Amino acid sequence: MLKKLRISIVTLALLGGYANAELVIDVQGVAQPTPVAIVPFGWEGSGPDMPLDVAAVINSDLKRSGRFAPIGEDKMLQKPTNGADVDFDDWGFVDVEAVVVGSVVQTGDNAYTLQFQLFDVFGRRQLLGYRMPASRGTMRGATHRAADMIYEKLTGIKGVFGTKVAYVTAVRQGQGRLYSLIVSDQDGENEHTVMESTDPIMSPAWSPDSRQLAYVSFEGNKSSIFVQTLRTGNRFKVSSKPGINGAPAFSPDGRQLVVTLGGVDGNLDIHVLDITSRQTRRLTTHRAIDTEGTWSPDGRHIYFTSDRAGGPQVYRVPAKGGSPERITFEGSYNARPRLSPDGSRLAMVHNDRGNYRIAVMDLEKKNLLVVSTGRQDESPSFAPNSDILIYATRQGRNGVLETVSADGLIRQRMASGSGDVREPVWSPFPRF
Amino acid sequence: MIRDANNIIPVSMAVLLHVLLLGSMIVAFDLSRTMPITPLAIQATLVTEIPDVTPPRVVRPEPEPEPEPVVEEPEPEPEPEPEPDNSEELRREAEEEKRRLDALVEKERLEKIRQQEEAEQERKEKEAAERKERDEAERKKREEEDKEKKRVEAEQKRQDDIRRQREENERLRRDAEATARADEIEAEEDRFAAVDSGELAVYMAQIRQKIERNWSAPASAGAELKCSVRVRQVPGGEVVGVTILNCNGDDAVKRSVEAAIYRSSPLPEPSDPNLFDRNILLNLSIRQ
Repeated sequence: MLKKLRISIVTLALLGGYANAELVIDVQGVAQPTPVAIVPFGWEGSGPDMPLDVAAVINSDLKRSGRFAPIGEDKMLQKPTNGADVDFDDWGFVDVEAVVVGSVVQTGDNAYTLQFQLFDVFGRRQLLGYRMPASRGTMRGATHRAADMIYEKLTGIKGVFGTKVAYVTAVRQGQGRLYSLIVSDQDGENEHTVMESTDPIMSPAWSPDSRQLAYVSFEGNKSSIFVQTLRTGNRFKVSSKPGINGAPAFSPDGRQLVVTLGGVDGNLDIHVLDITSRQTRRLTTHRAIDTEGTWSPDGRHIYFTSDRAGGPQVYRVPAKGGSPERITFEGSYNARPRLSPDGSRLAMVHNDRGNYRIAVMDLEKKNLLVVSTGRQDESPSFAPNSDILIYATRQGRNGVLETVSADGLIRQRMASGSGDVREPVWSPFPRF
Repeated sequence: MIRDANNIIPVSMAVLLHVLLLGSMIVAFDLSRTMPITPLAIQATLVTEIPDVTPPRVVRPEPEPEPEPVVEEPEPEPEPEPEPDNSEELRREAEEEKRRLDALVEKERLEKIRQQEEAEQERKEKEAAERKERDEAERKKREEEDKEKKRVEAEQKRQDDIRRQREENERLRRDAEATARADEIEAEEDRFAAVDSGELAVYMAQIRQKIERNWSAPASAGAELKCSVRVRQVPGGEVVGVTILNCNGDDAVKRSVEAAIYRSSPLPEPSDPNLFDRNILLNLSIRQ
């Protein structure tokens, strides 16, 4: 009787559409580095080696982003230097999802062609292919640009491998210290000293066109704000008022600086300075400390640190002038605000259970996420793709630089100058 | 010599003279000859026929070569009477002439007969040829008809064969269907049994874990990501098709999903073969 019942149920099920039967499985993934392969590039030219190991630089860029896991050369079943030779089965076999192949060909005394192709292994098709001219001097920049294109194609996020960072180092020299303002590639290569002084240098800031740096120098035993053009080394003083001149930051149109001026009475306040005319306009008048001003990307507000509520918190005031409003309410200490270039997030130094750490706040959702793990982390700065932050942390007695993804998941130590490294700032995208 | 056109006038005049002489002297002279002769041949008709040297063909009308010379001599001129002393010689000459004439006439007659026989022969040949043609045509026609008939027969047979084959196939198909249905029912029953025993949950978990392990979700895969993907596999677990049905992720996410599935091929196999399904629907999201 039971069997009969069962058969009838089964028959009903069959009538209901046998062909539609299928397993339904829920899969939950986590962000993991994507396995890729950067095949050593081919070389055609005078001399045994190409001017720069292009594949190695791309490999390092992608790996440091934390989003890719390039496989070692020893795992590669084939090493093509041309797209036509790529065998998708070979790469699928070693579980690699994307492959980069390319070559460097010398075309003149100091002229080369850098060519690369990016392939989707399981989709079995080419995703990118470019050919770029370069000289020995520009080869590294061209390679970073290639890495940017590959990164953006594979993640949908703009790459920042071609950008630069500026920071200050302090090295013991005799009785005192030698302070240097340094600009390097975002991977720490190509360090150039922009300014050197036996007096402290502080608060570097990039101009929006990435051609100039503003900074505070204590030369002559007083604080002054300078703006220096990187290519020429020429600089001019923009503010040397009595008292403190500090914390410069460029406006989005590059014509103004928000600065902290102490004035005669020593009350630190936010001012807006026109670079050409050197005229200043006062924005805050509170007797509390108001400092560390920074512009919003739309140019409408200036965010700053103020302790008017008793302890440091982040406020903002309309750039044209008005009443400041408080932004941070979580924790007793929030300072040194910096907005992401896409305007969606705010990074700051936040006191997290006694540790000074970097935190990121979503300006819309208002939730705070702590992204660093040190005890005295400071000076956060967003990369121009709003996806990575650089900051200074301490390792022993020295300051070192670290980068972290905006979601806090991927952290990298940056190889930077020797000595005590501090106050890193990430350049905007270079404008060609 | 007689047939030579240049001699026509003198010859005709000589002949005429002799005939007139003979006719006036011998009324009923019975010529002893070996060959019979029709009176018609001797009379005027012969005279008029002789100048016409080319005998008329039965088949082909021919333009008269030179009728003019005959016309130009409408009236035979009465010849002056010869002397009567020459009667014996004349008679001999007449005889000779007569013999020549007879020979001519005979020749003429024979020629005519020959021509007639020739014509007859030709006609007969033509007839024979025509008959042969007709026969040939008949034969061909019959052959054609035979061929056609055979063709139609063959075609008919072919159609019959096809129809028979179709019927056979139909019967086989129906049989196969019935068997398949019976098999399906049995498999479904087994499946229910397997599901009941929890083996299905294990199988699904194995697939899920393998794909999760192999999925490198990119940074752009946000918390709100939802992708549904149909996976087709063959027994053994080899993935033979991946179709993304609905996905709110960008290209990098879609690529990563495809890669995750292919990297997981061959998929784990169930302990109970009845649980195997060719189609799997995956619902992908990001672990929160």
